[in-house]
Parts: sequence; C-alpha cells; structure tokens
Amino acid sequence: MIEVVDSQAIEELKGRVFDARESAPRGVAIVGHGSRRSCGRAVEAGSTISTAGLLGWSHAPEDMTLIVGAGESISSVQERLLPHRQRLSVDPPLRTVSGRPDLGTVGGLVATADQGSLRYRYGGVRELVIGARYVTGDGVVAHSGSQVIKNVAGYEIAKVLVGSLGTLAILTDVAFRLHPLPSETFEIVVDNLSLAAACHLGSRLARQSVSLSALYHWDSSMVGRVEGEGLATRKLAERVARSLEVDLNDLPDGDGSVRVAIRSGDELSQRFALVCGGDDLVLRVACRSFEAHQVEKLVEAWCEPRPSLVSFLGSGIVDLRWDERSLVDGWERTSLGESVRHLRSAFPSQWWRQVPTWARDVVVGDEIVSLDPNAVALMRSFKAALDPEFIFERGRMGAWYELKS
Amino acid sequence: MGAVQEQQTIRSDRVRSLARFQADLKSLLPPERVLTDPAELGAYSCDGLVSYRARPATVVLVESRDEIVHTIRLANRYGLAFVARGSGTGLSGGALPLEDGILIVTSKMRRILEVDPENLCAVVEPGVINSDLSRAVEPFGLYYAPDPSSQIVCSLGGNVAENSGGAHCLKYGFTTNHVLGVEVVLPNGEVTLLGGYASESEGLDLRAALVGSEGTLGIVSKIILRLSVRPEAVRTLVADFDSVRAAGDTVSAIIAAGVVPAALEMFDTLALVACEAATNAGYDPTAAAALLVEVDGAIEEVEASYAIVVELCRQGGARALRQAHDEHERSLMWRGRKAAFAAAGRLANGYIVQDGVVPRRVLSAVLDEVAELAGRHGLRVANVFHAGDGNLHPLVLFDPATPGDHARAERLATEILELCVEHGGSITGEHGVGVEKACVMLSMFTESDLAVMHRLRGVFDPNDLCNPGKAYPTPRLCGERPGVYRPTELERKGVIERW
Ligand SMILES: Cc1cc2nc3c(=O)[nH]c(=O)nc-3n(C[C@H](O)[C@H](O)[C@H](O)COP(=O)(O)OP(=O)(O)OC[C@H]3O[C@@H](n4cnc5c(N)ncnc54)[C@H](O)[C@@H]3O)c2cc1C
Repeated sequence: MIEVVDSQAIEELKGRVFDARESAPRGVAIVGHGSRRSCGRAVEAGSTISTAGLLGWSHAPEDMTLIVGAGESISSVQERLLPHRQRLSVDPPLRTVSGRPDLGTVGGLVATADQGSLRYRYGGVRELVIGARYVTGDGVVAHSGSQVIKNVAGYEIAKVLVGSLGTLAILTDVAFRLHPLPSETFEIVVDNLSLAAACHLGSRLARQSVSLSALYHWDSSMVGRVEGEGLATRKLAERVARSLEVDLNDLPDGDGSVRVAIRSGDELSQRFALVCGGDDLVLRVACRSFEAHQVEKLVEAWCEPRPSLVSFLGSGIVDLRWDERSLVDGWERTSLGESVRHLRSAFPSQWWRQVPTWARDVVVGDEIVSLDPNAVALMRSFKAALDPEFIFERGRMGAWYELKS
Repeated sequence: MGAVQEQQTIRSDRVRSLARFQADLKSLLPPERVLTDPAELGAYSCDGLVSYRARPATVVLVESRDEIVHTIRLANRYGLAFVARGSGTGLSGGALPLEDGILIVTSKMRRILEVDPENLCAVVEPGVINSDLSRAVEPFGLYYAPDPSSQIVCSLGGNVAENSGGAHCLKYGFTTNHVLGVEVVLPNGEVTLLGGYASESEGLDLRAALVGSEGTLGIVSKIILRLSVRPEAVRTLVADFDSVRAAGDTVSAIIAAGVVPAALEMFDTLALVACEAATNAGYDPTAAAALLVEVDGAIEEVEASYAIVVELCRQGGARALRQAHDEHERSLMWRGRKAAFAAAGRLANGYIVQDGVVPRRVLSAVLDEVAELAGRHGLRVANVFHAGDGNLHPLVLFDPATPGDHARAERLATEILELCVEHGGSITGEHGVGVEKACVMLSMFTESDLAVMHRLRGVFDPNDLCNPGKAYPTPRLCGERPGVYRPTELERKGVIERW
C-alpha cells in the first residue's frame, strides 16, 4: 500500500505511543477534530495524541481509490474529490466542535463507523475501507489490505479497526474505495407514515430493481433518495414515486402522501444535519433490515423519557435520540439509564444488536447483554494482542473489554 | 535420548493419539461418517490445487454444528491439528489435508435454515452450494450476488473462508460485503456468533477477520447472508480492439465516466483464439484484444449507462461491437468467457493459471511488461481476466515435453506476481494464499504486518491446531513454486470452468 503520511510523522507518533506507555496515568486519548469524542463511554486518559498531523493524499481517479492520512478532514476529502466527480460514499452527521459543525477526520470516521444515510446503497464504513496502516499499542507499525479493491491476501484487520473506537490502534493511512459523484439527486418523501408502514413499504421498494442510495424514516416521514446521471435519474425517481403511491393504497390505514423533490448537495447535508447531527444522546441499535418497527415497540414499552427514532431502513440501524437539553438532571437521567438497561435486556440476543456507537455515559451501562461470552473473550484478547498495556482510549468500550481486564 | 529415537517416540505417541481419537469419535458420530480406510481417504488428498497432495488419517463427514464441536474438542484433547473442507474446489491448497491429520468436511451440512425475503437475508449451513442458495430464493426475485465461476459446486462455507469473488463482484462486492453474521466453532471447540442479522453489530467486527481467513480461525457452522434483488434489465456487448493498450484504456475510460458495469472482462488474442476454438461463441480471433461489458439494474439506468459504454468503446478505437440482442446471445458471449481456462489447453499442453491484482490504471502497462517478461523466458502468456477490478489471470503456457520449460513457466508465474506487487497490487484477488502463495506474502507485507496478523491468529487459535501452515509463510513451505494447471475432476467432466 502506498504510504501517504511521511515517515517523520510516523516516527513522532511512535515516540508518543512509547511515552504514553511510560507515563502515569497511562491511558491516552486519540483525538482528531474531537467531533466524535462523545461516542462511547468517557475515557480515562493521562495524555492525548492528536492525529491532526497525519496528513497525506494519493488519489487514483482511474482506479476510484484514495489513500489518505487519518488526520485529513472529511469535508476536505470530499472537496478535493469534487473536481474529479468522485466521492467517498459517506455522509456522516455533522457534530459540533467549539460551536461549529464538523464532519470530523478520516480517522474519526473509521474509528466510529459513523456512516449516515448512504449506508443503504454503499454499506457501512467497513465496506469502503480496503486497506490501512496503523500503529499498535506497543508501537508496531503495520498494514493490512491494499490499495486495490480486490484483494484476499491476509486477514482484513483494516476492517476490524472500523468501529473499534480507537481502542486497538492509531490509524495513520486509510485506503478507500470511491464512487462516482452523481450529478442529479431526487428525494421521494412519503409524509404522515408510521414506522411500521415505512418498514413494509421500504421492504417492497427494496425488492424492486431500483437502486436507491438512501432510505430512512424520521419524524413520520420516509425519505428515499435516487441519485445518478441525467434524465434517467428523474425517470427513476418518478417510477419510485408511482410505485409508492400504488403501495400506499394497499395499506389498511394508509394515510401517507408522496412527493418528489429535487435536492442539492447543500440541502441534503443541512437536512441530514437536522435529522442526525447535533449533540443529542444517541443509542444506536441494529435489527433485521426492515424491522425497525419492532425496535419502536420495545422503546415504547421500556423507554421513559421517550427518544425520537431515526431508522435507516435496509441496513437495520436505528438511532434512538434524546435531546440532552431537554433532560432534566437527576431522576430523568437516572430513569433514562434505567430504561436503556431494560431495553438492553429486552433485546432478543440472536436478533438484535446494540452498537455502542454514539452514546454518552448515561446510556451505556456496564453489562454486556446481547453477546455471548465467547465473542467477548475473543474481543478482549484481540484488544490485548494489539494494545497489550491497555493504553488506547481506556474505558471507551466500557464493559467490552477494559473494565474487566 | 537420541534424535532418531525421539522422533520415533513422538511418532508413536501421535499414532496412539490418533487411534484413540478415531475410536472416541466413532463412539460419538455414526462410524460410517468417520473415514479411516486408506482407500476412502485418497479422495480427500487435495483440493483444486491438485499439484499438492497429502493423505489425511481421518476424514470426518460432519452433519451438524455439534458434530463439529465434538470433533474439535476431541482433537484438542489429543493435541491433533485439523483442516476444514467444503467442496474442495479451492485453488491455493487451503483445504489440503495435513499428512496423517484430521479433515473435517462440511459438505453434508446443506440445509438452508431460513429465507427471509422481507429482510433480504438467509441463514445457511456451510455446506450449501453457492448456486443452490440463488435457486432457492429465485421465487422471491432474489439471488445471492457473489458468483465465483465454481458456484455450482463450491460451498458457501468455502466462499466465506476464501472471501470469494466473481465476474459480477465489481459492482456487487465480494463475499465479505454479503456476510452479515457467522457462527463459528472456534479452534478450542467453543461456539460463537460474530455479527448478526444487521449490517453492523456490537463490539469489534471480528466477522471481518473471519471472512477470508482461509479456515485458520475456526470452522464456520452457520452463515447469515445478505440477499440481492435480481436486476430487471441487463445489456451485454463484446468490443474488439486493435491493441491491448486501447482495450485497457477503454476500461479506465468506462470507470472514469462514472459507470460501474456489472462485469468488465478482457481477453487478448491468444485467449480469443482459444475461447473461439473451444466454443464458437463469436469472438474475433484476429483482434488484439476484446472487452466483454455488462451493465444491469433498473431499465432507466441500464439504457443510459449502456449508451455511455458503447460511445466510449467507439472513442477508444473499438473496430467492432457486438451487442447481445437476447438471452441466448448473451449466454453465448459468457460461454466463450467461461470456457477460457479450459480452452487454454488448445494452445499448449501445459499451463499455469496465475491470480494477481493491479491497479486498473496500470493495466495496459502491466500487460506489456508481462509480454516482455514472457518473451525473455521464451514463453507465451494468454490473458483473460476481470479487467474492471484489475484482477489478472495470466495463463502461462509451456510444453511439458521440453526440458526446462516447466521450470521457466513457474519462474515467470512468480515474476508476474512480483510485478503486481511492484505496481501496488496484490498477490491474489480471489484464489487465496493457502499453501501456494504463503511465501509470496513476504513480497506484499512486511514482517510487522505479518506479525500483527499472527497475533490475530493467536487470539483465535493459540495452540495452532486449526489449518496450521496455511496462509502465512513458514520456513517449511518457502521456496516452493506455483503449481501447474491441472484440471480438477469436475473441470475434466465439464461440470465447472475456471476463469
Ligand atoms: C474451476 C474453478 C473455478 C473457480 N473460480 C473461482 C472464482 O471465479 N472466484 C473465486 O473466488 N474462486 C474461484 N475458485 C476457487 C474456489 O472455488 C473458491 O475458493 C471457493 O470458495 C472454495 O469453496 P469450497 O467449498 O470448494 O472450499 P474448499 O476448497 O473445500 O476450502 C477452501 C478453504 O476454505 C476452508 N473452509 C471450507 N469450509 C470451511 C468451513 N465450513 N469453515 C471454515 N473454513 C472452511 C478450507 O479450510 C480452505 O482453506 C474456482 C475454483 C475452481 C476449481
């Protein structure tokens, strides 16, 4: 894999890792822009390693691949790809850093796997990562994967680092698969639609041969997005709208109404920021592709105060969101913690998964409910294999491995 | 104790352990599924890489997860190593048994446990044949997208272990992109589920490490797979070019134009000659190169992308374009492509099939370099490959009757891999590392890279019992060279093709 971060920066980084091992308290926080710090539990850290200096860029437009330093910002990645009419197919929510909205860094994106609505078509961040260079907790610099999209040599450790919240290694260079930047974007919106009806309609839509790039339900609306080139895209959007109208008529209490809207990139990111961004407390759960309404049922049974739900249909990811400002300190926070605990134990373990992404302390308990102990044991020993002294992001994964070590 | 004596003691201990293992296992499993008769064991002595052979001492034909658990627990008790095998079509020796070792065959675990068309997923046992799953979900308009050309015989467990790909993976992704969850019997006999029914799950994504781990991290006992929707429209064409470079540049132009074809395959003259002679598919053997391009999806998109592809082929200097007007013409085009590896037998009595990847942008340059290398060795190379993702399959031709030809062919095959790595590519795009390429790993990865991979392996298999010696360099293996292409039994019978 081409290395884009220069060797001096790597040496300095290794030095910082060795220093962190020597100093007390040992824990070290790994920080990019800091836009995703509140993901997972609070970290105990005696020092901080900034990834801001891990810069570098090697774009192969003909290959639609990009190798980029972990410290580069996602916004600048997309800007630099724009003239080539390509993009990294992620739309992570904007989070706030010092009062300003921020998409974060490449390293932060990979570590938190914070994909947005584009996961419908392009999958999570893991599907886009094809290789990486990283530094382990004992200062070993290693690569996994490659810069070509097809490669089956070696274990895919780069993909294991996705979503590991910085607890295994410090990413320095990441190789991504890119996609064409569409010139036309349409959204088909169905208003006044319950989540159960959205799951039903979404599943029917998914089984037609139309490739939507996003499909989600939020605040009684289901939004489908069609992207592509020229007239074909409009025709496709109109077809989707027509088929939804027909399907709506079949619903017993179908009161939804369909509209088609042309969207610009700016509009999309503003709206998506509204839907998914901000600083709400978020608990991300996962279920079968079109069963978000089952999550809703559990939430209704167990959660007080009630969260709002953003359901990414097709991928089975549901974000439960609580507006932090509206939570009254004291009993409400405690009761929130309690409800999440109940929710966790209500999850049928084979069917439902809790993703420890984007949840503040208050909603992440210490129990591991839905995973079997063998999986947890493997995770713990893999953590120990990559970060033998448990210096990276101590506590961030909570009960996953650190607390019991 | 002298060294010879020590060896003998170890050997007799092993023989004793094996005998106990076999006896114990026969008390747990129906004895007819625990094979120990040398006459029966011979059939399992190799996978698709037939130049490597070893006779196992015991073959266990498991029918359930619990039987895998029993077998592995017993193997642990007696300190015996074991290897998993699905259909045995692997091309890098991943399922090559250990001499006098245990081979756990999952091909009888063929139940499709669940099909959930609403949520586009299915749960299968590992021995289910790739194309059987697609057939089972066809009534719902669905299919399982990864399509290795061995799909009518290879098992989904084998696909998971090899992270298999196929001609349509350019657009639809590889096995790893379609595996939601894997139940695995770990090398210590414990069972766990990595991943689940959703695309993301709790904790670390160890499922990502398991897919493509070539049977070294445990034995897959159940797989939760993503299903895809059959495209409503497909358009296919073959374009002929006067130079390999022009065809290679057209590949780049198509991708750069933002079209992601369902498949994008390339042939050079030698390959065209062989394919046409074997199938009469309508390929032009006088062309310097040809592209087979397929676009699929919604009608609106397909028509638009197809027009772009046609235009770019013309701009790229295509001297002829043949479009498939119906399913019959389309399948003829594919028949020619699929027959390519077997057809190479028409060009030479011996050949080696190599599998390497280069970045697309250097495709033409690498093909020139391959031709130059071949010239230097006095050999011919036919090229037919997945151009869209840069996955080369050079067929290195030689005459086994000419002294030294075979050795030169092996050298050339290895040099081609080194070339792939020099250009920033990979030593394998789909056939895996196995025993065949374990030593070449060092040309692609550093010692530290391998050391970290080794740590991962240690997490799953601290006692090194699960498919030891595969996928990573070991001193015993290094120095060995790629094997000559020899058709497997199924290829000889024309059941499957390698391409
Ligand atoms: C003619 C031909 C064409 C081919 N075309 C392609 C192609 O287009 N693309 C491609 O990617 N490959 C191709 N292959 C290679 C091969 O078919 C694939 O690698 C396939 O996935 C192997 O499946 P199998 O069931 O035969 O596995 P096996 O050969 O039995 O085993 C392969 C590996 O998987 C492991 N394994 C098997 N079952 C399990 C299990 N249950 N749990 C854990 N590990 C397991 C084995 O230990 C071994 O390491 C081709 C092979 C042939 C002979």
